[in-house]
Amino acid sequence: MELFFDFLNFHSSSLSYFFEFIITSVFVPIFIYSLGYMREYAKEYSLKYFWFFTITFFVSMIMTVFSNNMISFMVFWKIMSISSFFLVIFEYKKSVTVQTGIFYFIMTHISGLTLMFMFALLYKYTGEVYFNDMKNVNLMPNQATLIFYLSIIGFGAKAGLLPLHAWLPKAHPAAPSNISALMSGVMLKVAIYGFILVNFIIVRNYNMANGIVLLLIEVLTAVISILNAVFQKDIKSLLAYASAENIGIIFSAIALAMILVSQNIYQTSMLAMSAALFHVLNHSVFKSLLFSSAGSVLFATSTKNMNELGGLHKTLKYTTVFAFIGMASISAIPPFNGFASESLIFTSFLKSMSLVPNRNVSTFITVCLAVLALTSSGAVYTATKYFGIVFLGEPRSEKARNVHKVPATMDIGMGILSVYTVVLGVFSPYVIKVISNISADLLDLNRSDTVFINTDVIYISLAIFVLNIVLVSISKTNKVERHETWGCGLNAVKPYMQYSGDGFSQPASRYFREAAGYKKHVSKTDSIFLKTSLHDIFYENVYIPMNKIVDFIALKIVKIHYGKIQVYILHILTALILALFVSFVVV
Amino acid sequence: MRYVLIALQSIFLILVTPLFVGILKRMKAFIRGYKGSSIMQPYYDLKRLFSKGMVISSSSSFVSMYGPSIALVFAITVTFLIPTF
Repeated sequence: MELFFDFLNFHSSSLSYFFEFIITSVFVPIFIYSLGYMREYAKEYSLKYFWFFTITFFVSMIMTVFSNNMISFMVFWKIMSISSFFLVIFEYKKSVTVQTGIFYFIMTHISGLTLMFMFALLYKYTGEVYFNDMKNVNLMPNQATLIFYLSIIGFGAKAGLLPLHAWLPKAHPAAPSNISALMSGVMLKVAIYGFILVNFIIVRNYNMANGIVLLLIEVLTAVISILNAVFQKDIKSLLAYASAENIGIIFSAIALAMILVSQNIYQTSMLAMSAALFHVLNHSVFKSLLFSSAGSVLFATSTKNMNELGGLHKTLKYTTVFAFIGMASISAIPPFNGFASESLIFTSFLKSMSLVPNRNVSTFITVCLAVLALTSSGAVYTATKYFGIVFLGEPRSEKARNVHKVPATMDIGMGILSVYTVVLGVFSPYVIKVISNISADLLDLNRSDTVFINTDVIYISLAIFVLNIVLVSISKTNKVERHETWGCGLNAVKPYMQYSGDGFSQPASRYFREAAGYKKHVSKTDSIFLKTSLHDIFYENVYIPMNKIVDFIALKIVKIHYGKIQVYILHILTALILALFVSFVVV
Repeated sequence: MRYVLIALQSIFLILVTPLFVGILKRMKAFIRGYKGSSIMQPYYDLKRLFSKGMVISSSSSFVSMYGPSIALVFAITVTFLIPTF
């Protein structure tokens, strides 16, 4: 019991402070946002339930990153999982929400179970419970590899790595938008913290083969997630897939750092690690901003379907501006923060291409860089689709025309996050210096070799800004006329003459259709109808067959249920005898 | 001193580019056998175009208003990033 309360001796590494900074600085604007957003739910659902579980979620996340022994880590991890489950099923009156909530619950318990198994193995190998003591014990290589793969499965199920990402696009649309923002922005980062904790602080066995496997998994995660994101028509599952893609990018930078440290190339591995940590910070900020904007859209129009939205730039002016800033960040456009961290990640890949001595590994890193460039372009496509179809143009349905007013606190929350975005982007050299000190501590390196970027970037950003103002003021002295859009000879311009969501992603669907399970069904009744459907290929091809196998085995086993209590007592006796036999004779 | 050189080089590049365009057009016209426009013609074109007003659709947003000028800003910024000769 005392181990549980020992969390007051904080695990005082700088990494914990960094993640705590991310969690708190993202939570404050989302808190302000929730004050206004929850008015939509105040009539039907209980707000006390929401605030209780949100505060529990927040506190458990902070305690998780500060815990210094594995027991309190697991306890707070479980509290985080359970409180996020209760938040996902907040709208319990819709049965779809409860079903996806239970699916999310199972996935999060797979992660918890694997983590408990991993920590039990760590205890068996090192005999210690406190992380500070575990650091000093060296593990054998095969033990360290086992811990590594268990940590990929355990933390990956929470963060959204490839085979285990299927809960992300289902749980995020089901949850209320501020919870999606918290989960996607902060909870996935706690999983990244756990991964870095186990692999870089406790088990410092850097193996190149492990790093290559992780890099392969991540790059596949990034590509398949973003290709799925391009086709979605639900705005929140589009953002959820984009989250999975960015987490793939973060983990691939971490994997690169692992490969580089195993080859004793320290300077570039510090660059890769700093790039990964900086992208963690930036992704929290801009993904929360994007989910908040989606929440504003949902609040105002009560629809999540992209094909029914549009034309919100006239009615939701501030939301459009903030969504634009979020979109520019995720597409890595210069003065914002997404550009800084993505360019840093690409720089680390480029430098390591020539530094790694093994030629096959170097080729593999080059191919991964090319694939990451593809995912960047996919992110631009996705962000443009999200912003253009939801906010610009003309409203495509009644719901988008009759827009409720959005409360001011929601705009304030999004505004704070946009300010974070711009500040982190423009002043990025100072932020990178601080983060590279953290990663130098992580890799036990000298803190003074941490100069990557000089501060000219700030002046360039300011030059862009000043030039922009000058040019816009020159061109605005001329008059601006507004007329209705030219309808190509037709009299009335209808909203369905614009691009729809599916139409915008049609060029991608020619080549990447199979990656997203995008199918078109043609039905001929009176006239010909076309319907499209989407599914996650991992969900259909891996999860559902596994469900069927488990059902099949269960059906066979159910024959031992006779219904008579005597048979059950015989079962208990048999199991007891077997357990005693195994424990005394075999071990 | 370095920054002054960078700024001077960039401004030189921006101001001289239409002159190069004009020279190339006139040379191509001479090779094809007709008398092309004068060397300074791109400057006159730019002056005329910058003094025109905008006609935008009523369903477009700030993106159509500011998008082209931001594209020009990025192009100009790139000239600042070229190393000095």
